[in-house]
Amino acid sequence: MAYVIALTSGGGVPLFTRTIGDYEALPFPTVGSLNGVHMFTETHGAKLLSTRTQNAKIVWQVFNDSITIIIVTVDDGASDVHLKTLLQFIYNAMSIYFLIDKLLEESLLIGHITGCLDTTAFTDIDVLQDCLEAFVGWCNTEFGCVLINGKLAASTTRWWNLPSTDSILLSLLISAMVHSASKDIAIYLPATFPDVPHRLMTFQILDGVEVCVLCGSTPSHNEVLQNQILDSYWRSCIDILKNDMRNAPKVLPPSITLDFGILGRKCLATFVRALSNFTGIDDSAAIDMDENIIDEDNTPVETYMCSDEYKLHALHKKNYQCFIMFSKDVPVYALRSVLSSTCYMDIQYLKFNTWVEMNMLVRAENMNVRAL
Amino acid sequence: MATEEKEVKIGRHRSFHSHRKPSNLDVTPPSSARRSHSFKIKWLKNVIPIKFRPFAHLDDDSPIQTTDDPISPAGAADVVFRKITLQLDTPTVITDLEDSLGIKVQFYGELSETIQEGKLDILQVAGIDSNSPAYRCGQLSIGDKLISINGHEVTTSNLDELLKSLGEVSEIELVVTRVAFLKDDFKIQPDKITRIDPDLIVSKGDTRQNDEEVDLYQVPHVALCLTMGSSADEDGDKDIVYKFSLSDTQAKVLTALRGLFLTMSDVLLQVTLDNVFATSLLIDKMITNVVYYQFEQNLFILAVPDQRCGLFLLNRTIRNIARLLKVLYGSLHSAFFSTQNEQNLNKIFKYALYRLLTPATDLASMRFLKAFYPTYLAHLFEAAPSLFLPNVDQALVSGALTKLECGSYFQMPGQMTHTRRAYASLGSCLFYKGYLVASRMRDEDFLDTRLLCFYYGLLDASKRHIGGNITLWHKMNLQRLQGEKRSYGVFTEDSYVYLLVVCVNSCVIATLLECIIPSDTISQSEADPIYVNSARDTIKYLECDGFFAICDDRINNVSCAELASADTFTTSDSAVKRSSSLSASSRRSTVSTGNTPNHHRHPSGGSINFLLRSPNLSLNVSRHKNPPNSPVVDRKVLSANDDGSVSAATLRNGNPEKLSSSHGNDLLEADSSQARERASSYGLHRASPIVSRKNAISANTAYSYLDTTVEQSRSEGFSIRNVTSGKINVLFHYIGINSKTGMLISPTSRELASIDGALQRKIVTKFYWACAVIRNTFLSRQGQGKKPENVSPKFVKKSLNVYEQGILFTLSPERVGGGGGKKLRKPLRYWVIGYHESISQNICEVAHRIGFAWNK
Repeated sequence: MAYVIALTSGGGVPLFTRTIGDYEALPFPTVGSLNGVHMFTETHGAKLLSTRTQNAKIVWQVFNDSITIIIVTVDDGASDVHLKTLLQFIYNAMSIYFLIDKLLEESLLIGHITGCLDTTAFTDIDVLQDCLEAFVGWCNTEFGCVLINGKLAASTTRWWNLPSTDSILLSLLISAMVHSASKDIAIYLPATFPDVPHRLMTFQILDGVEVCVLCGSTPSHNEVLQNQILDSYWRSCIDILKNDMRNAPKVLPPSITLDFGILGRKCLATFVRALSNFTGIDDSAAIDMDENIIDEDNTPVETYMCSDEYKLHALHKKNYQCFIMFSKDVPVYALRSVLSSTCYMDIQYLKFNTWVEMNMLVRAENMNVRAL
Repeated sequence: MATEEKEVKIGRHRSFHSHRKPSNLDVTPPSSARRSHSFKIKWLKNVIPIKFRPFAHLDDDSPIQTTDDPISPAGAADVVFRKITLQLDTPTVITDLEDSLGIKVQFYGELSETIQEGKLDILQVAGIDSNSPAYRCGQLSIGDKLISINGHEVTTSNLDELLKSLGEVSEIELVVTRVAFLKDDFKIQPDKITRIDPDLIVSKGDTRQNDEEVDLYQVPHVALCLTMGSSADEDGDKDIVYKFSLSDTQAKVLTALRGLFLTMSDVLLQVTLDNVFATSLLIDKMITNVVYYQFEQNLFILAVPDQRCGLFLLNRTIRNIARLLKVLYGSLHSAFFSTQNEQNLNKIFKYALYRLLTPATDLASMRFLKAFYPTYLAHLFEAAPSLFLPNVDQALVSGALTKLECGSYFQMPGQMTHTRRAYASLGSCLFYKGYLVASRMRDEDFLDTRLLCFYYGLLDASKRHIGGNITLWHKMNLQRLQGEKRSYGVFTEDSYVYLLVVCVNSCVIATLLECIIPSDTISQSEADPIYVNSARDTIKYLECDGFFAICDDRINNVSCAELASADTFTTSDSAVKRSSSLSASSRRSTVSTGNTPNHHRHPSGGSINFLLRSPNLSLNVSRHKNPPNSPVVDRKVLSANDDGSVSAATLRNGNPEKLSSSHGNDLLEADSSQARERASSYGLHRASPIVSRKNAISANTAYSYLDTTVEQSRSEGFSIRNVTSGKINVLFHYIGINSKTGMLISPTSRELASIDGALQRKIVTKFYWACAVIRNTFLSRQGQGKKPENVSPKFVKKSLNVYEQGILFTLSPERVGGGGGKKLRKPLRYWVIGYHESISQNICEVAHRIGFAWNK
């Protein structure tokens, strides 16, 4: 449900327009007017930031003094921060239209909203990690990861240390691409290597499970596909993956039992970058939870909401964020204890996880979660 | 007040002494002797002097006041005596006024008082039967007081006797009076627009230096009315219909940008298929919000920097101003396009902009507005502050207003009323010292009324005890009835509604009167004395009952809060700080300017309002709506003459969703939705859980609490420690908020002064902030009920239907304890919980929720 228009800032030449949702494309004169008001304002020494109508919101943003991106979308009641972040992602993904569409569509991936990479838990992380390390080594690169349903299950340290903009965009890109057994495309990483093209190779080893590597000119795509390279490196964890996929989306270690009232939850921990798990979620429901955290001082620690259909509780601690969706039958006074115990289990679990890394910082400016 | 009291008594007990010798018939001659006021008798054409038997106890020969006498400064009353001759078909023996003449009578005056004085003597016409002699003569009105019959003084006690003594008659001569106390009034004549100028208020309360004040205006701001009829490219500024700014230089850029506003309102209609609402601009490094109001082919805009006034408040302001202009001038077109209005418009905008531009910090720092703090803040652009009274007092005032609205007359059969009564009441409300005490109007009408009262400065005047005697009679363009044809028995015409405001000292009664006789038969410029008098009698009645003493008590009681808008606690300097801190962060330097303060202020508005109470008072639970069986509802339904009235009754029974759908006007909806959203807050003294629990139960109609606890956060668990005593632990207490357009919660000025520490300010700010977030969430719920207008927007807001939200925030207090500073306090944790009124609350769960914070 959005229009995205990109134009050159100087001349107003349209670069591209995207229309998401069942709408007619905007006629050219209208696009011209939308850009025109922005330019007109600048000639008077002012700057047009945003405009709201009863239901929609339009945000203008200039990137690099050269490209103006205009987004017209539903006013979600959140601050402009959300849309500005989105525009930044769009700018970074500018040449890849389907990625832009993916950013604007609702999806299970919420990394671009939370600013945290979507990850998923995996029962036997060590085996998966070993397989990945070995495979990446064979590919002669340091960047590699395993995505399960678009969410990161395992990655190399270098991949993990990519700026969140890049890693989130990569995850989105891979899940947005047409599914095929393998792909080999050239990409630029806007934050890390804005000028150097890299090869992104992805291989689907199971339905929903993709192995991705960023590499140089070798090995060639065919090389990987031949000689049963994939098979030899990944055979050891195929069964575990299959088993996990069968149980999906409930990929929780057996040590964690969830309260029956919990419909879905999301725990983001900064020291593990992010962990997200969803269980038994009603796909049709879209929940927005806006917390507009202006600065550290104003950060709410916890919040809950009760709607006609759900109850939500979110927790924001120094190192992690946790979002839980409850069934509406759970009484309010129980929310907090359920949350803290669940969260506590998550944290305990994460602490034992092998690839816990403490060096990541996640911005705390806007956690704007769209849990699906 | 003493004078006033006397006057009312005179009105009740006046009679003739002899031919051309009117006399004061007060039952207490000594006090009458003291009285300095006099009568002026106005002889009308058909009024002739008559003789009648004087009362036995009124044999005093008080000096005759003739019309030539100078009117004493204390005031005089116009007394109109009217002789009416009723012709009977056949000579009859009159046994009963109603049966024979068709006059229903009632005794006049407050029961308690008259009984006390042993007098039930004044008869008042309460109704007239159709096709009766009284009806045919056409001169008698409901409300007339009967003085004599065939020259004989008539009282309740001697009526039967008198009638018997008349014998068989074929015609009967009545003398009736209508009394009005209009001479001594400060009468507000709408055509002359006499206003108690807000300038006066500002200059009196403003202690700042002039240069500071000039500084106030050195930000971009403007109020503009543009027409799309002519193009901006044409010579000069033809497209500007009206423009006002406190500083011309500051308006320059915004005026130059008017093409942008016009384009925006035009283009966005094509893009999103709904109307443009607001634009944010960056001018001189200041985020400036522009709000739009479209009418016909014109555009009315208001632009103010975000750090001075949030978008939400600004939007509300423009809608209120537009509404006020509609009430005053009928339509925005006639308001802006007539040059003779310019001076008035300037006044309105001057005050509005002054208010919007005054930094919130200044308002919050009490030194500025101490004298009229609540009224000033909660005026036109925000909610009406309400005074909460115990139920028994609420019933009292409600009863008094009912009586006023019924005009002390018996309800008449429908076809009858229009022939004699010029006006029907559409509801009334009562303010005391600027506080709303009771309103029996519909929300929409109340909004109109309040806007007009504000416009005339009446509420400020009554707050500052300069009310004196003010009568305002103003034709209203009630937005609810705009252009509506109403039928009254035999005729149908555009509805003519007048607002009668009677202000006596600190008390203001506003009544909406709808003209129910053909409008050309009555004087439109003057208040009908009958109605003025009944309003005064009502005030008098309330005063006799000690009602205002109760109000004063409530106002002055330390534990009863003054009310103010929480808006004022979002200090602009914090917004600036935030803005700059964000700009500093390189990561989003481009982003920060656009959004942060904007959003921060955006959901604010004047409508979540807060009231802060001290710990021990919360027994007087405010009522959030009239009880279902309240006379308001009954009467409204009873007199329902259109669907609107019925829906009003539904509303008062508290179904907000129904309300929003029954009103098409989305402007109103904004306000009514705010009214739906009752916020309140709760302060818990950790040390006294029993008190809290008790409060909780009594507060089950309240909507949120602020739960104050101090909690020690121990690793991942949550453990609790008892708080120490002290003000910071008992910041917010039970808050019951009710007003017609929103609720307020805030510390009293007194309390705020005493807790003027940095921490308290922080807490208030955060509390406000949390409420704004909650409120914003609830607003999206309301949005759902909106009916699509003529166009269906492309993008439709999703609605989550949240009915409850809680936010926990923490504060780390700074070091306390002066030089040593060794103690670092534990972080304070506060829950702010808001819930929507449409969901009935389970008391048990409410009680549990209070234990929420330390529930393991």
